[in-house]
Amino acid sequence: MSAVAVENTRNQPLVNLRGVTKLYKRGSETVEVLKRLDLTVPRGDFLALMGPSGSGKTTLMNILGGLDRPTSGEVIIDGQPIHTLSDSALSGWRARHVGFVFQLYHLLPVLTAEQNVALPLMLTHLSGPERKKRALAALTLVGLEDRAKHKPSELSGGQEQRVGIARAIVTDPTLLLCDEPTGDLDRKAGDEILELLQLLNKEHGKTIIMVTHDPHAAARAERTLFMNKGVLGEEPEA
Amino acid sequence: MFSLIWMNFKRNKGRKLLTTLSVVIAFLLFGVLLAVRHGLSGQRPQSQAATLRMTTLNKVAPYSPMPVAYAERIAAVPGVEAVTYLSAFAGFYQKQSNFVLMFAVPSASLLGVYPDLTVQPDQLNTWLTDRTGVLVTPALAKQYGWHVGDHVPIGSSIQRKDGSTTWDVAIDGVINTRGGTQFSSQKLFMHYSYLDEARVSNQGTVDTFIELVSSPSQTTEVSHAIDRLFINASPQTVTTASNALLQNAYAAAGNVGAIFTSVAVLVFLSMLLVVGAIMLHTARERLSEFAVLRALGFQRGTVTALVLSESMLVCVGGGLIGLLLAYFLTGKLQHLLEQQLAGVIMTGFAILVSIVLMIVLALLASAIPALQTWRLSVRDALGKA
Repeated sequence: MSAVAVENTRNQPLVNLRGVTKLYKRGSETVEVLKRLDLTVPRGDFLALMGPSGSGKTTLMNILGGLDRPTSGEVIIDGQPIHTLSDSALSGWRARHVGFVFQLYHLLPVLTAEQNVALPLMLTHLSGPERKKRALAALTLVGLEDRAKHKPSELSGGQEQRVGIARAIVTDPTLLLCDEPTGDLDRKAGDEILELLQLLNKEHGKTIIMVTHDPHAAARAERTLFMNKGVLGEEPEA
Repeated sequence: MFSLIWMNFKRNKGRKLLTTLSVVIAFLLFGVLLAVRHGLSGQRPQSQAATLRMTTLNKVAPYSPMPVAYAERIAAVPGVEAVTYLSAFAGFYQKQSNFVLMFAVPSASLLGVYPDLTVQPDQLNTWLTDRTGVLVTPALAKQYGWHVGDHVPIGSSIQRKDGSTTWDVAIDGVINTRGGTQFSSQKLFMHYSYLDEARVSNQGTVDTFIELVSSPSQTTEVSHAIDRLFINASPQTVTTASNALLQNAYAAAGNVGAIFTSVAVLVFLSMLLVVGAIMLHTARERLSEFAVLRALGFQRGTVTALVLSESMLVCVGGGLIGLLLAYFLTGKLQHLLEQQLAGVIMTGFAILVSIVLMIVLALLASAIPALQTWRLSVRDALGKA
């Protein structure tokens, strides 16, 4: 995407959550994890979500990524109400529109970096050579083209996370969801990952929502929202 | 997708190798058991003539002597097309371990009752006029390197009038079955007259009468008619269809077939438990990976298919190797046991049953992990990881 195009679409909302509530049953008790939550994320935004453990951050991410469904409310991503999609349709939607970056990377240990990155492309109609070409391009973007044939056990934590990011962007998704992407890394490796995410946001126009406990990481985002007891706010609760 | 299945299959090589090996051994055993059971059931491939043959034995002690004169009376029974008889005894060539199964038969009637046997005309003509001549099966000729025209001494426990127990015979020809199927057993056919004139005891007797009837539907009626002939004679006789006789002989030794089936079922069940436990463990180790695949957009069915396909690779791959080994082993067994237990072969049906069982084993062994994968909550699995 060109810089001009990125600028033109930057202010169009990509994520629209309206009155989203999520209830969980814990034994005989019903817990309201998300409370009539509204959220709008413009296209090209880099949003950090902070909050204490159990505040509902990960639940919100799961709902945004189509891994979980709201008990009530609407989840509209890029104009598509995903809360109405069937399980099968939701899988297809995830493959096309969302890239996940996990705290523990979640790379498949039997596959090389290149094969891990190419995994989401198996769900496309691309040929083998084309998948390989795109996987290498994604690895190049994260600076790991020389580690393409290495297995996860042969990479450092920072490198593994880079591979995870390459896997997340290889299908050119609309939305990048990062769950504590630096949570398992040291400060230096964490900073490199955050710089990479900033690059993807600024240079490639990726809309990024990142859950983090780390204020230092959140500071790299364009804006930060705070989640507390299932409610979103601009400021952390005192 | 296959590359993903294959890469996963190669994971935990030691465990996979041992699991696959246990499946190989199980289906090797299973295949051999089925083949031996087939041999025990007497279901060896039969010619049409074989279904028309009946066997008459001494009722009191099967294979004990009966007067050869019975043959004429049996031949007069309505429905009997031809009759022959034989005296069987064990012989050996050069040393006791070189076993030769000897059949003393009347040359004139042998091929009348066994139209499914064939001898080259010139060899047959030579044999018919050669008192000490014999016909041998190709397997026997090959085993001892005999050729037509050779003269060989065959040792035995039958005492001759000249004080010897050795029978000097001339190889006049090779006897075979029609349609190109060769005898795989080591048999020798000599003239009954040669045996009977030379032996000291049991003269004028035979072990077995073999009748050829015109239709399989006549066997019951003809068998009753033959046995009625000798109801007041000594010895009395018992006549059955040749195939039924074989089956009765095996049934007398107990229902061995059922025992073999039970063992085969136990082998299958034990394999189910072994492979099932390993598949369950393997899948549980990888639930978070399956969750990641689901998060990336892989369909629920596709991820479940990964679990099933791995089980299929172990069970069907290992099973086919085991079955192939069983096929070669039963080929050897068939050769070794031809005298004692003919028909030890893996039939097409047995192979089909085995392949179906491999697939059933794979499906059952992976049923629980597949169900777990199908029901997998991506949120929970990633959370736990």
